[in-house]
Amino acid sequence: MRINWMKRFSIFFFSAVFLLAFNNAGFSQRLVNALSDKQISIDSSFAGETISFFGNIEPEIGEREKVIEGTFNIIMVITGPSIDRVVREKSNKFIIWLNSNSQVYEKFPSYYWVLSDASLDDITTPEVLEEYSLLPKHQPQKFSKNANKDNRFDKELVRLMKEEGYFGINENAIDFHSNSFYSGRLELPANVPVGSYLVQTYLLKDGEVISQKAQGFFIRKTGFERFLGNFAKQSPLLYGVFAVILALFTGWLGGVAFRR
Amino acid sequence: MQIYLPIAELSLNLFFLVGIGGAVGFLSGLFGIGGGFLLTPLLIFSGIPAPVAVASVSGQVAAASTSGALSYFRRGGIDFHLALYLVLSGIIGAFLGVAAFSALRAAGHLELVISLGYLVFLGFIGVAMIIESIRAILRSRRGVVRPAKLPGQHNWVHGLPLRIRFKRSKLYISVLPVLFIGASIGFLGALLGIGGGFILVPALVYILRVPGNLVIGTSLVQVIAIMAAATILHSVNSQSVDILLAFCLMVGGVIGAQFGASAGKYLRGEQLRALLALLVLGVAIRFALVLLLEPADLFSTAVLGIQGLAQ
Repeated sequence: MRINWMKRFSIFFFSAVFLLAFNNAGFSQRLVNALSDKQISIDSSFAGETISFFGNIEPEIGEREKVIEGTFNIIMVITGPSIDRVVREKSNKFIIWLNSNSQVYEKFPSYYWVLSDASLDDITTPEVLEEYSLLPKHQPQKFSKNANKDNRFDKELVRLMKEEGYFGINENAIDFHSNSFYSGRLELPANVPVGSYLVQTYLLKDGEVISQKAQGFFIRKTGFERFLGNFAKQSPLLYGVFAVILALFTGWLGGVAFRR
Repeated sequence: MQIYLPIAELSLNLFFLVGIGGAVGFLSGLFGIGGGFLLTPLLIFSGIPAPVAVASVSGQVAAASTSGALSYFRRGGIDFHLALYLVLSGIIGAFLGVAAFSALRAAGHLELVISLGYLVFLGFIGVAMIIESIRAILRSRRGVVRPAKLPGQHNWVHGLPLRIRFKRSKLYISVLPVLFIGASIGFLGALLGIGGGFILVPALVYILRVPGNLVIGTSLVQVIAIMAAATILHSVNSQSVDILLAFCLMVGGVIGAQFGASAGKYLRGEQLRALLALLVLGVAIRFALVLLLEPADLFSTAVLGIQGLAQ
């Protein structure tokens, strides 16, 4: 693990992928970030993957101070592709349990993980977390479209997403290797949603957000899996006919091979 | 060895998939059934989304029935004239079934209807089969030999209008019950992801009085046609057929069926039917528990729209 990390550490140094810094007058520090993988490929043997982030805190260009000082904290928020989602509640009617009430969340993130280098309570205040809507529990309020909305569903949605592993908080995911250099890792599960992801990095000092920076990466199916997925969506009729031919052929082959 | 299923959008163990395909194939060879009614629940209980399970099993049942139908075809055990009416009405039924499937999924009641459907049909068939086979076992203990019901005996259903002569089956019966049976099986098959052989065979025997040597072959033709239609309709309508999943199940199923068929030779007919009845009842009870017991989690979440199949 250490060796692997060292490899990625060196990748960071040699990688020329330094994106434009978040430019805001008044901030005297900026973030320079790099990602171990810009694109994650899902093939037939995909069983989850670990993605690494690297970054450096540097003095803002034009600042007189050439060395940054103080203790910093990093919070990273990884947001997956958004999708319309519904939460349903079962209730007992005519002795059987069936779905009754429901609430719709439009363009809700399919994936939302918060990574940090220490306990969020130690890093900052609940007010800051609330202001930037950083926590998983802040998400449903942003996306619920029901007029007469029911707050119970918000809580349940976040709980369900956490149980599925789609939402969560990992307070040990970021390590500082010097005053200014940090790395983070995100473990993507095998059922990770496909699409484009946003990594929002927040730099905090004394509990306040002093700089932030966005980056993206992409998760897509490749090879045969991509071909099948596209085939099913783009020419569904042909796909269905192909599935039937495959079924009949396999059945025929089985019958011939064993001659019952 | 994990394999990623591109439509279900999750990874499962390849040997697990081929294994349950093989186990259900073994039972289907043993009892002469398609096995959809066992395979679909097994997939749902192992975490595959219900829409993907139902749609993909359609492909698997078509494959499993093909090898059986071929061997009946070689022996001349198929009434194609009768099968034609069953198939045409069955495909219309499958259209309606897939439409109902989509409407129910949008309304959030698909899982409920699948569970209820399984409970009602498996419960009914299971109880009927167990009564029948216990009687048969008791009769054979007492050594009483009762003549099998002769085909050609008519009941009121045969007397309905629009009578047609089915030469191969030596039947001259109304076409209405034939169409009704075909359409019902098509509807249920597409909605529940079952071939419907275990409903169709008793219907052909007890309602239409089709001769015993033609029943299984003819019903297999209907099952293949319905499942092929359902596979295509599910592909077009909801894009929920996972070819990779279906293929793993097919390979296991086709191989397992051969062993099941040879094992079946060592068991007596009524014992086989009693065992099958217990199996059917077991699945029915499993679904009853889901409906009647308070769920551990009252809340569930699902993605809306076509992209939401993975949920």
